[in-house]
Amino acid sequence: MKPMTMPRNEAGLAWQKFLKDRMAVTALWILGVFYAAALLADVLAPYSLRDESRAHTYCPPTGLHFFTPSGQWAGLHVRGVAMSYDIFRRRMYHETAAIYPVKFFSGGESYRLLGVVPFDRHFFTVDAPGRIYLLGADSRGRDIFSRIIHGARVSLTIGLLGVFISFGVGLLVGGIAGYCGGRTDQALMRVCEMVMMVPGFYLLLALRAAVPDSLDSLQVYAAIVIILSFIGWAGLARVIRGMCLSLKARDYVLAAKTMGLSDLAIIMRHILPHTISYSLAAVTLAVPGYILGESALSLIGLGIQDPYASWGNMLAEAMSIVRIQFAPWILWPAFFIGMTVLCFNLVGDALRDAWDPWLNGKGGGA
Amino acid sequence: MTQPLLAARGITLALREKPDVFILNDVSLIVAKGKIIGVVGGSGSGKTTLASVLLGFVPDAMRLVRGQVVWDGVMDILDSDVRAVSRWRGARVGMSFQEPASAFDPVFTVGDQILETLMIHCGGGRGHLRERMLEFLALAGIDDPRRVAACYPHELSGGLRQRAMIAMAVCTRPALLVADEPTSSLDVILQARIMELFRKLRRELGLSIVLIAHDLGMVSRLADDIVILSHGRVIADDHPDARALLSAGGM
Repeated sequence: MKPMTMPRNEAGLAWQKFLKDRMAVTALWILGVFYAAALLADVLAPYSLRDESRAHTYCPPTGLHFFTPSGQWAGLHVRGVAMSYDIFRRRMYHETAAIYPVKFFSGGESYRLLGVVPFDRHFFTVDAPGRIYLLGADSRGRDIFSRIIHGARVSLTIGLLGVFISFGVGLLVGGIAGYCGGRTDQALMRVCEMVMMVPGFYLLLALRAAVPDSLDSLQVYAAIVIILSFIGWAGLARVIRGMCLSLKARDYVLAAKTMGLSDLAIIMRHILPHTISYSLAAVTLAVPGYILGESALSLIGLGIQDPYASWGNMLAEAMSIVRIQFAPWILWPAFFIGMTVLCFNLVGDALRDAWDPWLNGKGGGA
Repeated sequence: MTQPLLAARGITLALREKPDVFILNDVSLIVAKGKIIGVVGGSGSGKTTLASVLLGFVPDAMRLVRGQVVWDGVMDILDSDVRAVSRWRGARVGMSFQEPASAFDPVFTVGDQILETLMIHCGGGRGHLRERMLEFLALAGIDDPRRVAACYPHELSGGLRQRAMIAMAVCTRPALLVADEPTSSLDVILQARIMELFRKLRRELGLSIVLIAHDLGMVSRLADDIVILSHGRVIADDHPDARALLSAGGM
C-alpha cells in the first residue's frame, strides 16, 4: 500500500478529509458526469434542439429490444410505433413490427463540435422513420433525453456563472466593508440590507421586467445570469464582512501593515484567503439557488425560450395535471434538477465540514 | 548633536470611551542613529502600545490626545499622508512581534511572506529578490535558509520563527527595527542568541533598534539607553516601580 503522506497546508488537509466522505465524493462524480454530458451534448444527444416529430406527441419511452416479436435475435433495436385514439380520444401508441437497429457513432444531423469543429457523429441513433425516445417525447414529439442534455448546458452553467459573479462582488464588498469599518462599512451594509429585504422572487420578476423581451437567447441567458447574481451577492457580503472584522485584528494583518502593504493587498492576500473555507462551501451551497431561480424564470416563460431547452422551460409543459397523468415522463427534468441540487448540497456540506478547524480537532487556526 | 533618527515627543493616548483614562501619558523617546534603546516595563505599562505608535498606528479603541513621532527630522508619522507613511513602513522601519507564531500568515510559506515585503519595497527580478531573502534568513542565523523558506510558519520551532520574523523585519535594510518582546516566548539560551543577533545586525547593517521587553537585566546588557515605563508614564530609575523591576531582574 502506498504510504499516506500528510499534506502540509490547509487545502491539502481539507481535501484529504473531503475524500473520506463517500456520499460527497459520489455526488461530486455525479455532478462531473452531468457537466461532461452538458459539454458533449451534441455528441451524446441523438437529436438536435430543433428536431421534432408531430406524429409522436407524448410518445412514451421506446423499449429497447434484442429479439423480434417472433423470438429471433436482431441485435439492439427499437420498434416502430403506431398511434390510434381510444374511445376518450386519447392517444394510444402500439409497437409495430418494424425494426430499427440502434447504431453507435453513425452519422446523423450535422453540428459543430464544441461550437467549432463540423461533425455529424452521434453516440447512438436510429434511422428514420424510426425514433428513439429513451425518456419519452413531449407535446411536439421532441426527444426529452436529448433536450435534457442540451438543457443541461443552460441550467448547469447558469448556476456556476451566476455564483462566480455574485461571489466576486460579495467577497470584494464584504472584504472592504469589514476591513475599512466605520462609515464605509455602514454604507455598504445598508445597501446589502436593501437588496436583501426585497423578497427574492419578486425582485427576480421586477428585474426581468426591466430587461426587454425581444432579446435573442444568448442575451436572455446573460440577462438571467446578471439578474440572479444581483440578488445573491448581498448575503455573502454580510458574512464575509463579519469574518473580516475578526480577521483584521490578527497579528499577521498588523505585521503586514508594518511591512507597508497597501490595504487592498492586505485584503486580497491576508484576509480573503482565510475566508475561503466558508466561501467555498457557501458557493457550492448557493449554486442550487441559481439553478432553481433559472428554472422558475423559464417555467413561467420569462427565461430561456423555445426552441432552446433548459430544465426549467421543459417543465413548463408539466404545469397541467392532466398531462402529467397521461405522460408522466415530462417530469424527467425535475428529477435532474433535484439530483443536481442534492449533489451540490452534499458536496457543499462536506466541504464545510472538511474545512472547519473545530471539527478537524485542530482548534483555533483560521 | 546630530539629528535623531526617530523622536517621539509627548505621546499621550486616551481611551475613546473614557477620555480621562490615559494609556500613554507624555511619553518621549529619542532614537539616535545606530543606537539601541531599551523600553522596559511590567505588563500593562503600555510598551506594546508605544511600539505601535512609533510605527504610526493608534489602536482603534484609543485617541491621540497630543504628541508627535518625527522621523529623521522631516516627517511626523502621526500626521502625514497615509501613502507616504505606508511607503515608509517596511522600507525605513521594520517591526518584529512578540508572538511570531501569529505574526506570520498561516496560509503562506515563510519565504513567500518575506518575498512579499521585498517585492513591495525593492526593485529587481524575482530571482534576485529570492537570493536576498535567503541571504537575510542566513544573516538572522538560520543555518538552512532554503528549507526554512519553504516551511509554513507552524512547521518551525519558536526560535526559528523569531529569527525568520526578524529577517522579515530587516530584509529591506531599514534604518530602525522596533522589536516587541522578541525573547519573551523563548528559553534563556535562545534569548542570548537573539540578543547576539541584534548586536550583529547593528554592526553589519548600522541598524538602530527599539528593544521592548519586561526583563530589565537582559535589556541593560544590550541597550545604550533605557526608558522605563510604568502605568503609561516614563519614570526615573529611582522610582519604586523601577527598583522593583531592577530587583526582579536580579540586579
